[in-house]
Amino acid sequence: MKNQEEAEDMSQEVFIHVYQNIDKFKGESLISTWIYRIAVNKCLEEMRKKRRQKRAAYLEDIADPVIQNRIPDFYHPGIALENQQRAAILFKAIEQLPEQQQVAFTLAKVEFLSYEEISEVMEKSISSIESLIHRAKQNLQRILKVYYEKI
Amino acid sequence: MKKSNLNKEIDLTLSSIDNLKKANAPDDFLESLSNKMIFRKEQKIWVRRAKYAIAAMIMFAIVNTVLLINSKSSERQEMLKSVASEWNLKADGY
Repeated sequence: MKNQEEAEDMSQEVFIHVYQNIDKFKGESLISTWIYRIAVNKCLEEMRKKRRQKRAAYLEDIADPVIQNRIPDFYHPGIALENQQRAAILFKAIEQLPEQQQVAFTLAKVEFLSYEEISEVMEKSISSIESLIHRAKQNLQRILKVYYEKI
Repeated sequence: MKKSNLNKEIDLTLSSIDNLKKANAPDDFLESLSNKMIFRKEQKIWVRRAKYAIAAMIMFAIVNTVLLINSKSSERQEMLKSVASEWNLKADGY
């Protein structure tokens, strides 16, 4: 999520969903994995909804899959001040990744989940998670290279 | 930007979230969550009432249609019987 309000709103949605559907939890995985799965699905739903709404504005990004020079106002309370600008660029670059790579990379780098935990959340094999994260890193390097060459 | 600087900047950007700390929930998080849940519950009650009302209307329309068709067919039967008796016809119409 792009800002604190959106993140709070989304976590409340996840809490409500967990509360209303707790009887559907079969105990086949850890409850944290189940909650992560719900959170990932909710976030993806929200992102798709926003993408549809901003289709016209998004065309600009599709035509040029390079991060635009404008970096949105960004502040993450958990990131050191001197890294805020770079983190803003990185998050903007993460947005350009394919959905599955975005999810795997975010769960690994932001949520610090192990590959095994990510594989359970995303219901994929560990090797495909490794491959997703590897490709995400490669793509990020490519996107950032084009971005820094432009400025 | 020089190539060495470029690679350094890319590495720095990629590692900018390495020591990210998770943000804590704000103080009013639980309060706004419970307010949202109460609001959703009330909303759900109204949605359920609307569903019941629509279901009742559909049932009413179906019953009405059935009654209408039945009454028409019994009226028709009555009419045919009276015509048959007037013309002294048998049940098979001859």
